[in-house]
Amino acid sequence: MISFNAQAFQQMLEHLGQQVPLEGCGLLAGEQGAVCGVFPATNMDHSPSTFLIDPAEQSRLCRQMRDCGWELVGNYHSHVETPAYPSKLDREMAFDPDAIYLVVSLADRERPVARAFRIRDGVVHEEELEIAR
Amino acid sequence: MIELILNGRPTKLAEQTTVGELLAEKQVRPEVVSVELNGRMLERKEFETTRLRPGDQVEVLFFMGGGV
Repeated sequence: MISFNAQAFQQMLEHLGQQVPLEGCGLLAGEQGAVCGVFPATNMDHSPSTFLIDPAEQSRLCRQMRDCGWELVGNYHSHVETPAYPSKLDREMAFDPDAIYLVVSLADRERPVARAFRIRDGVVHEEELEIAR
Repeated sequence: MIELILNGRPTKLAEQTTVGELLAEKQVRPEVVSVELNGRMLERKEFETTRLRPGDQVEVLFFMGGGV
């Protein structure tokens, strides 16, 4: 199970909502099994259907999260019109076996759906997601 | 042995270890990461020739992307 700080979760949803109609993305910070903070990133693709994070920005954000006492635990991105499940390209580009891959569907703008996954060798395993108040 | 900082953590490596050897030791495929060494993003062709030194700051960054 992954525990996600409620304030950080809300910050993530707000960031992704602001990016519509484009996909939004960012980094998840915390410790093993817990997301404590989110670090919004620029979608280099500026696309409604793909995302890519600049490694230089990724490095800068990782240093920022370490200054907060956290480490990189995964990333998040939105699916603007499709379900909250890793697409074929998401699975092909899930290179970190230890990362949490969080996908947020904004298909229903009023009711975003967030689901968390581990992806190893293209095999998707869903993690239970708890929003910690 | 030398000690450096890998993704924010003190790490000990054999002297003369290259970036490519570090990735191999960590079982990371070089084609799926970027490596930043002391603030400079390395070209992939530099991985095999760049030797790590004591006190180096190394960031191994898995590519992050996807799409529907």
